[in-house]
Amino acid sequence: MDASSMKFSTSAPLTMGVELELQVIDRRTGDLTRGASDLMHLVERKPFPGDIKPEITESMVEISTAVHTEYGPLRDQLRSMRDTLVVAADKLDLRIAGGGAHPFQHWSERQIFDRPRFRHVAGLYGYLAKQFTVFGQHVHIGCADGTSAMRLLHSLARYVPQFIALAACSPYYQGVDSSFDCSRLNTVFAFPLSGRAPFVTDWEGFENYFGKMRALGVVESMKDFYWDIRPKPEYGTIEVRVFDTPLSVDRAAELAGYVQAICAWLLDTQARPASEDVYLTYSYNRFQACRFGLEGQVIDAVTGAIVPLHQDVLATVAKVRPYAEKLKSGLALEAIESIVRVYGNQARRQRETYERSRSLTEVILDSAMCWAGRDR
Amino acid sequence: MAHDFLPPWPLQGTSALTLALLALIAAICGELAARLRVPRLIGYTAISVVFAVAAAALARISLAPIEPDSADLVLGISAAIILFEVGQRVSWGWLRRNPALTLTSVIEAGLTFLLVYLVMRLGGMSSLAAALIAAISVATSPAVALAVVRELRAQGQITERTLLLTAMNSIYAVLLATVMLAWVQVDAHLDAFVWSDLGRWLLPTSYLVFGSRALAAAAARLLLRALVLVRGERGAQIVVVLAFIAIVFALAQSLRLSPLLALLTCGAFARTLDHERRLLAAELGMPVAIALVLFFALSFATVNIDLSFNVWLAALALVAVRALCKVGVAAVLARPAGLAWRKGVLVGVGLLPMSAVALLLTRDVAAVNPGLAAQVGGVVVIGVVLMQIAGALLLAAALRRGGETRD
Repeated sequence: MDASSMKFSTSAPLTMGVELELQVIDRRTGDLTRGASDLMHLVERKPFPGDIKPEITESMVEISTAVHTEYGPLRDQLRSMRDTLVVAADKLDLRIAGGGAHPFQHWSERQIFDRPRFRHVAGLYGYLAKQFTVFGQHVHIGCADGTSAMRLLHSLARYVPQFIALAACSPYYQGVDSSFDCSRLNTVFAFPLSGRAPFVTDWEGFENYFGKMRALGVVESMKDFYWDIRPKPEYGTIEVRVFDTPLSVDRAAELAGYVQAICAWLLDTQARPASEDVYLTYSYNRFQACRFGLEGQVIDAVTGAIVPLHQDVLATVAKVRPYAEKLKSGLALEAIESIVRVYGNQARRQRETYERSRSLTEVILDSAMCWAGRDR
Repeated sequence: MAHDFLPPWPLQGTSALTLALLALIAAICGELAARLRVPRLIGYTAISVVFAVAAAALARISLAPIEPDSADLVLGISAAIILFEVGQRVSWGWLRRNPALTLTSVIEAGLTFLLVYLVMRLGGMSSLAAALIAAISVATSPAVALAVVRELRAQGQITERTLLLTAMNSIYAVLLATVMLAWVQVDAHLDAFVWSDLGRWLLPTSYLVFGSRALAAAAARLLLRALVLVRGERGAQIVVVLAFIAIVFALAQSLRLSPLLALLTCGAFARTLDHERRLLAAELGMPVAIALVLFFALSFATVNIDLSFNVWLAALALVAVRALCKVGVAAVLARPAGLAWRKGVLVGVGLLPMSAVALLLTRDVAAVNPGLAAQVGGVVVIGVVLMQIAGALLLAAALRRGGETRD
């Protein structure tokens, strides 16, 4: 990659797009199965209401939306992509499911998708690449320029634990209850270039950093960074990557709407971290969110206050509500609020399903039903 | 001093000893086959054919021939386990969700029957013999499909469609063979189909179909209940499932139903009714592996193989016409059924294996009309030997080509 491609494309602030990594499931056993290429072959016979592409294994597909300014149309596009996929999966006798990780897949069974980049990744990371059969949602937020992108990125870092806790739905991994609400991020952490972006608050500084890393041979492209939030210069966005893929598309749209509302508030109030101190408690808070979900206790690095995440979410919702109204995503915010007040996150749903059935197969097949829209 | 506590010399082997040696050698030959990167079942089958051809030589080295009764029992139970497993693995609801796939199945089987019948008639066979051979040509081997899919750990559309269409073909073949059998029974000397006798074969066929189905449904329900009683103990779970398989097999025989039909549908019912996933948890991996070795090792060990030229010619014609129908229809209907046509070809290739299950179909006919059985038997045996070996190789190649295996 040459230096010019690190140019940050301009996009309209607060536009958003969603990518979802999905599991391809065997109807009987609930195990992951091969099917991505056949599914894509079938889906692509007609114009697909969005974008679909293969991922690192044959048991994963990734869908992505167009660029949206409002929550409603984003949700509608996600729903129609889902409907198309469900019809195709029925024809191929497959099921599609959300969820951050498969509850009992054995990583050695997975097959790496037949493409040069994937072969490269598999060769480099060995068993990590196969273990990396985890499924995330990425939310892109448009930024006017590189510098405002970096500032937004660091301001948003404080909310990462909320995002993790709200989306968490990977409690079961490799056949056991991991005791984490989100076990997926533990897998991501094993990669050398995971974690957070360096505390650089302007684009020139970031280009400088990237240039050094590339000169040192640590990375070839932005794709080699597995950060929680990373800039995506070619789209002109920042990309929040800490969400487990939710069990339903509606939840995916709500989470995107929530991120958008927070960003609107951050941009409007020009609130931004004064120093790298904001990251002093980052890993700790992140762990709390993964492990305990909305019950996790986070420490505010600036004030020193300790708050449970559910309280933190409600405080944030109250703060950003006016912005959500303006962006027509009031419904998304209401849904976020009821996750905290009523339903709990979807890790809870999965644990309840297991309690009822004592079967991890049932957990994954229930997730598939939820994704097909036959249940919320 | 009397020495009558010692055995007579030279030693006389028993049928059980020969059976055990056959199983032993088969298992080893399977591993040799695996080293040559061909499916293990080819090793098992090869040794089975060797035993069949060399029966006389074996007797000279004091190895007793395998008693047909014990061979049939082992073969029957092994086949029962395999069929139950296939019935469970196959996704029957898929036929509803993908009507073009159902159509593929029906047309592929129908065309195979029709064309093989015509070719056999052209070759000068009687209509009854031709129809019987055509019925057997419809069948695809569930044993070969299961063995190859398991061995290659195949997953994907070609794999699943091959298993489903294979199960369907086995059912069609049983139904067709039943009609033939009723036809033979009406008049053992009769050579042509008499339409006015429709009622005479409708009744036995209905009894067979609905009886087998009722037996299967009842057994599946009881099996799932019984599994609750042994929850938590893997060994006991497996014994319970095997016992039920043996019971269905035995009852189907006593009731003159079709063991094949009963076991396939029993597997299917058990899958559908297994809401608590009790059967899924029991997982029959090891017993199925053993059943496959024994099934292939015994598949030809007690069969007479006729090597005359005319029989070979008819068998080759059968194999060629059958292949043309199955591959052709699967390819042409692949796109409507949601698959690239190239993969449809591979599904068709996956439908080519034949196996001893087809031979069992001729056995009842032989009991009624030995002359007819002799006419049919030779051709079918050669066809089956060929398509068990070549079919397994082709299926393995198709799954590899489709990228559905692990190597």
